[in-house]
Amino acid sequence: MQEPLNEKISLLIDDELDSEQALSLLRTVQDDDELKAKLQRYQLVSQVLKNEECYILDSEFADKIHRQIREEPIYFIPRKKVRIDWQKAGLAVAASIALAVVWGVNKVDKQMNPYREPEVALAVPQQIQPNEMNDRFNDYLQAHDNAVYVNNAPRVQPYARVVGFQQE
Amino acid sequence: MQRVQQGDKSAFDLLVIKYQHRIVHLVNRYVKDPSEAQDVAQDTFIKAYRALGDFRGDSAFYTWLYRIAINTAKNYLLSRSRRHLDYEIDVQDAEQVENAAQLKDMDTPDNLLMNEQIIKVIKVAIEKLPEEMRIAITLREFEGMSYEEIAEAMDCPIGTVRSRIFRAREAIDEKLKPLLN
Repeated sequence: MQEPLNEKISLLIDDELDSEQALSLLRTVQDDDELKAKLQRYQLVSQVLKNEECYILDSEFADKIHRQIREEPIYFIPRKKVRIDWQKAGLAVAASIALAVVWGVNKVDKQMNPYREPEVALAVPQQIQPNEMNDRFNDYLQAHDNAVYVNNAPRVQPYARVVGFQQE
Repeated sequence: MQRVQQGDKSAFDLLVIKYQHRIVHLVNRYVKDPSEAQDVAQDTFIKAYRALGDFRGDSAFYTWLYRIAINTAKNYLLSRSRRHLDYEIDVQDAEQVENAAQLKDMDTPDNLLMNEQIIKVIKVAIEKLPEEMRIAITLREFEGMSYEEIAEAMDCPIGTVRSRIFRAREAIDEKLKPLLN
């Protein structure tokens, strides 16, 4: 009559029951001295086969603990800590900061210069006429030539050269 | 463990049932008196319950429990030594007290004989099992193989393994029960 329960006890010892089945069986065992003794003997056999050592537990061993635990408050346990993938987290934080900086800069820029055209429009290359380009190039060559000719120390600009440059 | 973490005390009872023999066995290496060892093992479980907040699942539950058991046993021996020292008048006896934990062995000849008998009965019962049952229980208890692994090794369904192991335990229990009663 007890055979199915005895078989379950055998499975319990071998960790072959899921938690629901194990708890359900445990409740049954706790109310039945015969099953409790059966569990103890099965465990004793298992212990002897594993260690060749024999310890006969007090039949009240587990019950004493159960009674004491019932009087204890429930100790809540923090959730298992979540392992953080720091590489991904770092990328996410960096992306967020970059986005915030771009958004912030745009906003400040608009507040300071509300009529300014968008950056995209400014980025379009300006059309420069060929003559204007030649003039600029000549100006550059003249300034460079003066610097080399007048003084080997280019940072010191003679007054006469500066005036001449402006006049031209 | 998840259920215990949610405050389910009966789930902790299950852990007690599951690990009680191993913890008593472990504590008994330090505390030789069997009844004292069982008290210390009970303390271990109570301490473990109270310290559940510290268990973060980084190690296996038994490993964590194992450490608590060893610390509890060592503290017990230490406090017992101190207690003895408090009451001892003669300082020369201190050395004797220090060694008391190792020397004190409360196993009576009757208990030792009983234990030997139990081991013998179990061994004889195993030898008399039908071969398939003996192999199944041996692979489980000696080799620590799972039912699935045993099924593969014995080339039979898991249900058959379950049945063989159970029948083996029942056959051994039949011989053991009269001795314990």
